[in-house]
Amino acid sequence: MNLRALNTASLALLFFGLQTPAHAATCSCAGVPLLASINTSAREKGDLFFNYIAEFHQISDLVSGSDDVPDETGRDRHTYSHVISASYAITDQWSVSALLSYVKHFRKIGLSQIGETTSSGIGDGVILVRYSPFYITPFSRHELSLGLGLRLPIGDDDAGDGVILSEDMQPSTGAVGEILWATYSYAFNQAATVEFNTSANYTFNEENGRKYAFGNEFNFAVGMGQSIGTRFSYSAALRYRTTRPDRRFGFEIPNTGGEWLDFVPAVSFSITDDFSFGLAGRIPAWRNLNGALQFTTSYAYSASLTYAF
Amino acid sequence: MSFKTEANDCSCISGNIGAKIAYFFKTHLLFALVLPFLMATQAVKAESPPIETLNAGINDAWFSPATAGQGFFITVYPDLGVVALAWFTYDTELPLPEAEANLGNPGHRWLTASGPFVGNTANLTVFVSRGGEFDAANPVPVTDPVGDGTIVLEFADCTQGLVKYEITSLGISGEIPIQRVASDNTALCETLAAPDPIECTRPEPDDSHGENDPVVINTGIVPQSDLIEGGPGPDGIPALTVPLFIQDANLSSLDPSELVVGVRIGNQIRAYPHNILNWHEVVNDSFRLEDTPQNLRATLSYCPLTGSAMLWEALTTRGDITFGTSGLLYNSNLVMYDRATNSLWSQMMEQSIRGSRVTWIPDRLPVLETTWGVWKDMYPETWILSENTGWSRNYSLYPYGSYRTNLSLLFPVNNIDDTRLHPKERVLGINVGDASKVYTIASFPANVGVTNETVGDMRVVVAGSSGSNFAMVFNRELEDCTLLEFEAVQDKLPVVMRDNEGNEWDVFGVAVSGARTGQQLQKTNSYVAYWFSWTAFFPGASIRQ
Repeated sequence: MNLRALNTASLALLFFGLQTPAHAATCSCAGVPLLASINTSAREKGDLFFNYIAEFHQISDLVSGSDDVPDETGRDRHTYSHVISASYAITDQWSVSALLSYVKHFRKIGLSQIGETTSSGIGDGVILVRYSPFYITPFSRHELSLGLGLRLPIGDDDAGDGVILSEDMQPSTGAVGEILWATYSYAFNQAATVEFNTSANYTFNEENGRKYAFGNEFNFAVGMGQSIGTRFSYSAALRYRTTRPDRRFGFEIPNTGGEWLDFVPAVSFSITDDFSFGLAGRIPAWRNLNGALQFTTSYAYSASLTYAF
Repeated sequence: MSFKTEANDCSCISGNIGAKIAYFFKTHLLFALVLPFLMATQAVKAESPPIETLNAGINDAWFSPATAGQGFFITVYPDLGVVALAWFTYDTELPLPEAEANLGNPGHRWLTASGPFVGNTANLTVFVSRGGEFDAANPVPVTDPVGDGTIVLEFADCTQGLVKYEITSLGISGEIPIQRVASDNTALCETLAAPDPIECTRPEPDDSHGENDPVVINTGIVPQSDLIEGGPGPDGIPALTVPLFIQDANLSSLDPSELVVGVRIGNQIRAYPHNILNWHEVVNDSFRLEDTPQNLRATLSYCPLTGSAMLWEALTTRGDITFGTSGLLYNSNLVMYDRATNSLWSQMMEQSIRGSRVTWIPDRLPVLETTWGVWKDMYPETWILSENTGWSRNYSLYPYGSYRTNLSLLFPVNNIDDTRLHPKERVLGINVGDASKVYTIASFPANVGVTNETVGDMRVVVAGSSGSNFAMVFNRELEDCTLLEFEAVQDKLPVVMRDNEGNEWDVFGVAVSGARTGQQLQKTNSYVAYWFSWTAFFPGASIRQ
């Protein structure tokens, strides 16, 4: 993989980084950036790269519909996620990606004398097969990738010290999800130093062993990115996300699901021709959540490393 | 075909009662020899109440006056559920004049029968044995285990019975009405047949304090694995600890159709609207009492998922016992924790289920759930919990969507397949020992309806009104074992019923007029809840719809 490809991969990661929590849970936000970690793909036959994202996700905003509500309980709810992914180009058009996550949830209600609650363990995994009919090259301004994937509940979904923790505190969803995935990018110049990116994905969430199903989820993002020199890139994106209410026993669960619009800024720096480092953030811009009250994302930030062979 | 048996035939009852039957004949054989005399002289007939189940008082000599000189010894074994019968009779024809027997008349016959009884009827198999000799161990008599017919033995009362026989080998059948030879055992029979006398020991609900004498009620202690997190976490649904109240009911914007939990402690009357409780679930409150310098501290809890409300008196006089929401659910029902020990308490089990106070049972105080409109009409002087709680919550919103009326359950519960009622049907449930019964609020008349019932071993009065949306149940047996019968009082809320002594009682079971004014009917283990939760905690509940 050459430096430009690495930059492109990094840009894609930055554009769409932090965009797709693995599961919505009862507070519709307890996310792990699974699909964000897999948005980059190997593009030329034989390409192989690894990616690692570490994310901190603060989930302590209290919202009624689209209105912020003061939370006097002193809640601190956050999630650390570590996602490792690999992508390999089987041909110039076909590639396969796989990822594995490790998740640590934390919850503490400030006013409560009962201590903090934590859970951690292997989270979900994803396998995604992608078809990319064309790429951005010096001779082409367009890039398109289409993918089909599976989210696999390979991790722990019954965490708790004797008590089954709520679904949003489980490292894994415990259920299979089917993923439809697409990205499109356009380069404004031959050197592809300025790009427009858009992506969309949809996840059908199945029921887990407790008859709980996270709501089906749709993500759509648009953004612009620019490379400065050969090693530094930055980007900004808007991400729209909507989820259906979660379900248990087939019935919708109140106060789950809704719509979110986030602003996602990111920067990337290629340390070597094969190795890049990135930072990204997620700032809620607007949200309209189902039900009377939900805890949701306050902010998130992440750091990523990408290594190309 | 004549019914002829050999002179040395003997009775033989197979099974484990054989020894008892043998003893029966050893002790009664001599009496049998004088049976004809007794049968002829002591026919008895008397008025006797009907019997539902055969008892040992049946044990006696029985005969039919129409066939005096013949008869039956009947023995009931109540513990075994078995009846044994010996029938002393004669051959179907007179023996020929030249017939001889070493002992007695050649025409003497006796049969035995045994079998189980149910209620006042026994179904017996007739046995015939042969091959034995008088008072000799050998030869050993032989009995056909198949028998030689059947006898159905019925007793209408302790003085009259009916023998229906069918002798297979002869193809004959008939009925013999029988009566006692002597009436000595009739009184015993009637005593045993009488229903158990009412004991002057009033059944008590499980309301022991538990501090020194822990009691594990029949629902047991909840395994940790059955506790499920609801989502918000401990105190994520914040309890109210300094509740404010508005006295002027007209100042409250609460819709009259909204439900409230009504409380009356002494002269303190308060209403806790569901629309606030939906967001807080626990209110740690205190009540000033006229006759004591200390306030009564109590915790009111309401679980919006199970629609159940409770009021528990503080566990100690230290006044530091308050509760918070643990964030856990059991059977989709609120699990609280006490802030003194962090022990967990199941609201609908009304006891501590885990922690150092496991099995403790709080002192329960009565509450009445009804609409705000009805409550303030009953108690215009009521105070109502203010929406000025200190928390930023929109109390005009119900936080669970259409949960109150739809079929959905948000969490796993026991006995989920008991769909005899809509899961969210509001029922008044009562639990007495292993007995449980529910009354749908909708089953009460629009005006006040009152029924006197027995649930388990507790005699209760159930009162309610579908129009006014309330129901309650009290023990109608007083401490002195006076059993009251109640009837409804209409259009006089909060008075809802009048007893057979003329006293009138209000919705909290307090006598407000009559000689018993001021007395309080005993609270029962009862409360209003959604049906699915009641049957989850108390499976097998009977339903009055």
